[in-house]
Amino acid sequence: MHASPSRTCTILMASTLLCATAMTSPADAETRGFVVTHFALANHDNDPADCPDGLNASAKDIYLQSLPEAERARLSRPESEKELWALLYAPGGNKGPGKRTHNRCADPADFESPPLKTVQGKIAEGMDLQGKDLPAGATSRPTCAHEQFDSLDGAQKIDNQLWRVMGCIRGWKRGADIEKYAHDNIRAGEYTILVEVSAAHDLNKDGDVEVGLYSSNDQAAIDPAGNVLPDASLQIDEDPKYRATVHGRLVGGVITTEPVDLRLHYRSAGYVDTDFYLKAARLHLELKPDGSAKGMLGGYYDVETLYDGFIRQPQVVTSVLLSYSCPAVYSALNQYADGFPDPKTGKCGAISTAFRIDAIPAFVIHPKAGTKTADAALVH
Amino acid sequence: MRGLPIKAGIVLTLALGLSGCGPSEPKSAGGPPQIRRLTESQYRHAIADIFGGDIKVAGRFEPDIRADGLLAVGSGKVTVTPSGFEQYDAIAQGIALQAVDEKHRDALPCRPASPKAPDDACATQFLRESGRLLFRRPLTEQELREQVEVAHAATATLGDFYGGLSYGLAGFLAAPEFLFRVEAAEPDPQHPGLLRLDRYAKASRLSFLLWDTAPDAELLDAADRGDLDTRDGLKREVDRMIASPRLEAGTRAFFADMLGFVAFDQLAKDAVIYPKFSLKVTNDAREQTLRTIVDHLLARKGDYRDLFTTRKTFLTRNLGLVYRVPVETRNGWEAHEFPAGDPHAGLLTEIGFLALHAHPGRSSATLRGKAIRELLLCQKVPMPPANVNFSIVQDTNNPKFRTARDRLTAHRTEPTCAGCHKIMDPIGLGLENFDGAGQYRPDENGAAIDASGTLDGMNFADAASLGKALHDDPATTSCLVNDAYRYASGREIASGEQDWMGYLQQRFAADGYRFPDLLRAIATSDTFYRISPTVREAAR
Repeated sequence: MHASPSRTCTILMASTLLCATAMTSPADAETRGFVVTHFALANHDNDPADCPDGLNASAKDIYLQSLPEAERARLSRPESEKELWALLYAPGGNKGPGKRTHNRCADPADFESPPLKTVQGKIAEGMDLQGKDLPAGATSRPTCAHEQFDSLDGAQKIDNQLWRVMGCIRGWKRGADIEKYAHDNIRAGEYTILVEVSAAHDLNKDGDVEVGLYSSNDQAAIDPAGNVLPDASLQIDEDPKYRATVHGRLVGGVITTEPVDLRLHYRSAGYVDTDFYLKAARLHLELKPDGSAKGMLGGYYDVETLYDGFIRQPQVVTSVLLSYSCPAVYSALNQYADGFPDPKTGKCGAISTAFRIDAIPAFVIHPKAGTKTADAALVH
Repeated sequence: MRGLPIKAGIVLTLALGLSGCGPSEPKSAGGPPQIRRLTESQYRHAIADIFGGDIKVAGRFEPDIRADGLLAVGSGKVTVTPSGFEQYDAIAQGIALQAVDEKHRDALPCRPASPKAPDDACATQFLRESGRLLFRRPLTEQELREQVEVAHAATATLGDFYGGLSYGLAGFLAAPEFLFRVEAAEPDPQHPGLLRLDRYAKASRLSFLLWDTAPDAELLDAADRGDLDTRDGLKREVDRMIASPRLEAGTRAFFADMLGFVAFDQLAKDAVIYPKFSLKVTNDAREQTLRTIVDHLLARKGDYRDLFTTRKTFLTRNLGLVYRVPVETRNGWEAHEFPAGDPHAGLLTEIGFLALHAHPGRSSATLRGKAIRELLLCQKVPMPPANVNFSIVQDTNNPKFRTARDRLTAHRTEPTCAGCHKIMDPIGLGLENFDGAGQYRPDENGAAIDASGTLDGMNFADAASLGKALHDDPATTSCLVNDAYRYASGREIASGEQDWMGYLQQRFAADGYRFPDLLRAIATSDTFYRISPTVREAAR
């Protein structure tokens, strides 16, 4: 078992032993560990051009609008609320978190809905997954026809079709519910993401690096104000499927990795237990002088996994609270999916996306091969 | 006064003398017998040992007080208030009910003829055995009869033998004979004209010193036989007790007392300034220091002085946050050794010392210096005058005084403060590389920290070498001996015991400053049980 230090050896005298461990060969090899403190979809800030026709209505509003006026008025009254919810959950009903039922969110293909309002703007945040970030030797990645966005500075093209689909949903806007859940769930211990950067050289110099992206079952250390604390010891998930390592280059303090398939575990308040399942994921990470790191993780999110984790599992109630229609979202995700086309049908099964990442130093603990770290017995 | 540390020259002389066959224990006039209230720790240990570790002791105890630097000495100066007695009574009833409940019934020595009717024979058997352990001596027939009658009457009223028995037991638990350690003296037949503790008071002294709990049945059996009044019998019991795992509890209790760990109950830090410092860190910091001590002194049989230089300790992840080191173990403790050259070395650089002796939002060279003087060197520091102006010391943002050394130097220009600060600050400044939460820092407000200084003529450059200076200071070991004996006897060192203290210090040095050997020297001595005859006269 070994750990990665969060700082260079020269800065942190107290971790001399740690540095000695990391310094195998050559002498200036360095490893830094991080815990992710913010993990949010790279959604463009509220540009009026994005949603010229307004935001999407909620499942409840859509349903009510589909009814004759008198029935709509009756079901809109407070005393009809229970009946209305039963109808929204029809035909399967609400069986509680994690219970599979037949309803408009669980089985979106079985229900009709007005189409989703999608982003019409030309600018987005994210990464160019089709162009210069291709794997070495590749000239183009198989894709489905789609329109790329321009980056904020106009210098590059951006693949972020998930933003195109979800960008006009109130609860998916920047700073809204989805981002807040993701932020708070780190602090609630629902999920923890670790990043580890290793090089055979001082990480203040340019060169090749190895990057580890890991889930952890350990809760990040939190202070009374809800801030994630640095220097916590956090162990990588025992399940190898939640670990990915990838080669990258460090240039001018910014790491860019090659593509890697990546699964990160995500939980939310007992409603969601799923994986961030990114194919051909790439990380851009800036190592900051204060020891923190900031960057973006882009890739192609498997559509069925995404729908299941963030639309089906949260159920109908979330489609009302966050204001969308499950069948419309499901249809749009499939329509705008732009990655990993099926060789036979040509239909894309993944959708481009990106996540903004903030991270602070942590000690990344590696479990021994084939073992789990047991809770320690008391020494005495 | 906490007593006088032995001067280095005397220690050297005595130590040289011991290199031969060694002197024998000097004669001592002894001191007064004590009446000491059980500390909360002793109470809890006794209940766990007598009735089982799963018995919940729920209630608020009368606060223990420190007198002359030790709770053990303070325990002889406290009483039980009326409201305190109500609390002890409530705690007693809670314990008694659990001790006879279905879960614990199998451990009782007998079963009643009927669970719904009085059975005086069974009640007598149970109460005799448990009462002996609680009172730490055989019960008198009257004491036993009274509680059997209580159990009988309660059983008849309740129609429940065990419910009734709990009332009989609660009577013992709430009795002064349990709550107070009352030491009885008797003439010493081997030294006509002198007094000694009686055999059961000896058993209690031994048990509370070595195990922080009441005597077990085996020790009371030895007392019954008179073994504790013979040199061989006493040695046999002391050897047994020192070999027992329970010695850890006794060692923890002593050092928690000596190091003033009762202050952990009040320890809090400003969460904005020290966001890593939580209640978990507080609890773990206390435990870390005790683990370090127990591991070094008992498991490794180490030299006491090395506690101030050892780089071996134990960590949890909560502590790893503050020390900024990785901790692999998810929930629990793991051994850790700070590498050579690391600023962490010895107890002084553990959070349990650094954070305990600091302010909620800043470090304090003065408090740390005071703690070293008083707790570790047994040197009294006078209280500050009431009208001190602390404004310079408290303003950590003054650009003119960026480091604690700058601020304290300015503060010391006030003549009323200079005298005492000269005693404390130069030592405490050696720990300024650690902030108020115990986190390492190379500088303060951008200014490099100068942690050099002098401890009683020994120069040090930083915290690690301050620890070395403390290691080499003869007052460090004489202070431990002083405190250990005062802890054991529950009183100040009597005027006629100076030769004895010198002898004890000499033994400690000759034994390589091994703590268990110090305990053995005390526990097997005549002096430990000697009672001053003048006390008896005064009592008359």
